[in-house]
Amino acid sequence: MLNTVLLTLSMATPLVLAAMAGYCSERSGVINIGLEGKMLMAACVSALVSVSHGPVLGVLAGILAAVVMSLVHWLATQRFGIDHVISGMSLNAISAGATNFMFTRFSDPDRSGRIGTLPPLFYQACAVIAPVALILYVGKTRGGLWLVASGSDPEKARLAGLQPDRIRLFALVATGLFCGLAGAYLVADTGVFTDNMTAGRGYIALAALILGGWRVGQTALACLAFGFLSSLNLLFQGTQLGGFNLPSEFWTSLPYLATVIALAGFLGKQRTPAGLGKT
Amino acid sequence: MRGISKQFGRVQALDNVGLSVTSGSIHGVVGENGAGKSTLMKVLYGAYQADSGEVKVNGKAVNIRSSKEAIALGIGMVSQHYGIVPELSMLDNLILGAEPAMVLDKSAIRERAGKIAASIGLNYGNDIWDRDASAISASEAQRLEILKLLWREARIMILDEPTAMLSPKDGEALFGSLRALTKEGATVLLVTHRLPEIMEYCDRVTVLRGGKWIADVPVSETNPEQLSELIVGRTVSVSVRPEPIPAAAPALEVRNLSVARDRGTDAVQNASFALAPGELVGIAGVDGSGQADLFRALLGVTPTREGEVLWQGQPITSRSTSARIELGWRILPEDRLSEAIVSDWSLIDNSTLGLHRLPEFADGGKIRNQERAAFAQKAAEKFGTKHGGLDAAIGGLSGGNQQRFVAARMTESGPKFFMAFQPSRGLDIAATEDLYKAMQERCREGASGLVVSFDLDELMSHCHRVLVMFSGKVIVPPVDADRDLLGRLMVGGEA
Amino acid sequence: MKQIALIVACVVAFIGMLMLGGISPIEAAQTLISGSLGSPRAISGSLKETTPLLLAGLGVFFALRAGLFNIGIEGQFLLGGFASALVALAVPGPVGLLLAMVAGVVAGALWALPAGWIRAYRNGHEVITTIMLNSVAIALTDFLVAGPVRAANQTGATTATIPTSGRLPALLNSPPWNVSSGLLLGLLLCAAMAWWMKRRVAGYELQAVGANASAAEFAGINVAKVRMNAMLVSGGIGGLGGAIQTLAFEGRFYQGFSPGYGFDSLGVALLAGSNALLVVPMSLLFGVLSKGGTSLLILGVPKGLTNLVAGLVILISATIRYRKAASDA
Repeated sequence: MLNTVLLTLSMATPLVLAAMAGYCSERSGVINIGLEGKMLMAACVSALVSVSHGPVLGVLAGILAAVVMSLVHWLATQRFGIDHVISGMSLNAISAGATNFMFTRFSDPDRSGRIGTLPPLFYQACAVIAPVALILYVGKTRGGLWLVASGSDPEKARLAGLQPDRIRLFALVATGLFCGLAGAYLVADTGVFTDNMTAGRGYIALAALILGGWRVGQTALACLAFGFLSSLNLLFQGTQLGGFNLPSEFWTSLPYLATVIALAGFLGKQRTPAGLGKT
Repeated sequence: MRGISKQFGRVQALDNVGLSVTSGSIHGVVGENGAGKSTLMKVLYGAYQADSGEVKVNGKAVNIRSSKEAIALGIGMVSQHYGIVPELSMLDNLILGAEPAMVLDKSAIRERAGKIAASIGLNYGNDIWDRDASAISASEAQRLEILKLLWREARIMILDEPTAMLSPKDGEALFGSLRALTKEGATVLLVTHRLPEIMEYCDRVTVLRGGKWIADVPVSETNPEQLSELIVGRTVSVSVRPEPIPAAAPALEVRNLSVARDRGTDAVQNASFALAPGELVGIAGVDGSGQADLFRALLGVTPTREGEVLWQGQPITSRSTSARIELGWRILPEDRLSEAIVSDWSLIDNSTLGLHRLPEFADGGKIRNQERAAFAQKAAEKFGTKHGGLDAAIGGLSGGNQQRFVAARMTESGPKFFMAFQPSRGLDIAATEDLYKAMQERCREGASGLVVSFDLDELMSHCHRVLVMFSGKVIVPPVDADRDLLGRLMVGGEA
Repeated sequence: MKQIALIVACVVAFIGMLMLGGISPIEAAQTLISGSLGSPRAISGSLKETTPLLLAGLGVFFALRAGLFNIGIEGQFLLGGFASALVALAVPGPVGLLLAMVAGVVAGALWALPAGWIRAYRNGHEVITTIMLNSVAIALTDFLVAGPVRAANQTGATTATIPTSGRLPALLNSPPWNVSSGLLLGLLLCAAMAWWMKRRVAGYELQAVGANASAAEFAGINVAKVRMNAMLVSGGIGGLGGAIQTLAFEGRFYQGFSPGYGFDSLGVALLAGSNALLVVPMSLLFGVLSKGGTSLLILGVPKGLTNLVAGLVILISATIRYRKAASDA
């Protein structure tokens, strides 16, 4: 039992962090397909820097890498007017390629053992603090109000004297910060960097965001549910469960299937921020 | 405001316009579309910078460079389409952009919001403040906009067509609260094209026409007839007006047609009218009176909420757009770039947009290229479209040339019924005449035509009959209605 | 002109990355070219890589012309390859071959159906749905091929091998040359698509929806229906690509069937712009890069490099397109 709880928490941690990253970005009006790439880049950079300069600098470097990716995303969408989806996809590809390239070129092939990292507990604490902080920020501060307004209707927000461009810049920096933590956690959790180690978590986080109706609490719950699914999957792999033996692939697919069903409008009203992708 | 001038490109939007408003009054600003009302207000609100002239607020000369500075001076503006962000609560909308502090003290905000609402006689509790703004009605949105001005402590309030989406009753309530505010020293600038509002609620009125100052009179010393004359002006005599067509079995008949809008009252309300074969009918009215919605509904692009459309006696209300095109319906849409052309396509490709399924241009599922090229050639020649080859992208042409081409697509493709929205947009006088001649020619051949224009004179000098749209309603005046009557109807006057 | 600028940008990016990694660009270029174009065997290999990219690229291109971004091509490709393997194993001979191709098309189209329907009638973004469906497709085929349809005598997760009589014959098979007829099918499809887009009313309507959906509506085009159909056809072509991959090259379906053809084909279609015929050279470019990239592995150049370059190229091409749009306005 305790085992399941711990495993669930550990599985949910990167999802929550990445989903909060997605929350910041999408609430401000930037469609973020690129969570996956930002996480992966952060994981790779934090692994490399942790080895050479220690865990603290490693995490900071990972965050910095994700923030830089986010800034590129901001430039692409807000300055160059590139389609949010196309820019997000290409950032993912660039990440997948660059991390593979960097890691093969710059890591020491003779090194073995775990990479020294901050304890996973640090990240788990972040994953608890982040949603709470976001709920407070959005509900209680001027900046939170601006964030939601710029994603809901940038044109009207502009009429009220806000600058959606600038709000989105801050939002994307926050996205980078959370993605950085999520990526660094993957390294801390496993002790290694492996190729494509995010394994779709960026997309699952996006799925949680959609299922959660772009609301912090519900999104975090969806992440917990997905974490629980993966932990069940790990714990009961190969064992019969009361006569049923659902394959692990079924469990992995559930978040994705649920999202498609939600998008088809079968799970109640869609709550997509109205200004998503608009300028 | 004195000697305000503003130029957009080659267009002189404001030419040495002055405006003086006494504090504590409601001051009307009236004029036709393009008279410069909104531009003048935007200069005052800091959204535009005047090229010359000076602005004084409370006797002090000021230089307003942005809306932020205007707000700081106590000037607030409610634009016609409201600035309400849908996913925020009413309370969040109230304070958006004018939050008291970084961290929001919601209870203090609620308290002050409640007081402000009470000051104009509204009893708003938490249940109302917490409502999602996407769910509120047009009149609630309008009230919220006024509350926003009060929250910002605006002493000078600019309202641009505030009643455009309100029912008469809600409009009355709005003016009631404005009156109360002026008693406490607020000043209201009311931009409108509705004369009854001016007559009933304003203290003074300034009339603009063609970017020029025309008159500034106390409302008590004028009457609607005089005002509508000042607004439209005495123009050159209406040229040869076609003789009315004798009554006949209608080609197109519209019965009790209503078209819904996202928020507020119906965009088109219970419209009924008929077009005889061979008749060219104009629809006059100021912009935003529901013409666009009527146009789209007739074409079958937006659904109708109620009512019927009959074509040659047959109901076609539920037919698709392409079925209507097959019946011989042709259009010249309002927004050329988004509704009439594909900019990166060639003139040839654009020539059959909408006609592409007709047997002239399609042989089964195959495009008939020669016929298409020949038609494009004909359409380009008809009104003298200047182009760099029929294979070049239409987006490279000037707006006027695009309009010539798209207009010819309508008139030269054998229409039985055609609808043109502001057909003269971007055309010079000669081309406008050519286009109307072509439309009249089609009508002589038996087609019926409906032309929407904001320019009454243009319609009166070319159409057999002119209908008026005002605030979603289609008014069918007598066939021999004169200019004064039509002008009055356009601004909500009585027949 | 635009395409040339892109290719130059692509090459520059490639060289930059190589130098960053401490590899001599000249040596790398030599290896890349000799590995992809240097011998009949290398050329055959490049063409083999080109075939799935050509087909999947055509699928993406088709949807793109209707204004839809079918990221789901990967999933449709997988399902198509899987379904055709099952059918070809069940029905032997040329009849089975034909049925297997049809099965691939149908499977791909069905996999695209939810995304098309949600886009057309529920206004849900096709990108999100197709991303999700890709993950499901991978999980589904992984599961099936590891369990229910796994070949008895195989160690890995794979179906049985389709006998030669049930496969697509080679167009040219005289070692070292080996060119599959799958490539020919792709070329024919490409020509047909270019013709259809230019000459058929339906192609005209499809492109009108993609270029200006509101004008298309005013022109009497049923925008929702066009979008729905475009997605189905796009998925069908992706499925055909998978079927050809199975029937011409792999001879079976296994876990890891597509090493990312789906993503590369997005690049192919974006680079082709508005001309279907340009899908051919663009898929060839990616095919050569991919084959050459394999040879570069020997030099110690990681395979991620091609991915990286593809991503950059897409980003750059999107930027150039925006510049053009801005100067038009």
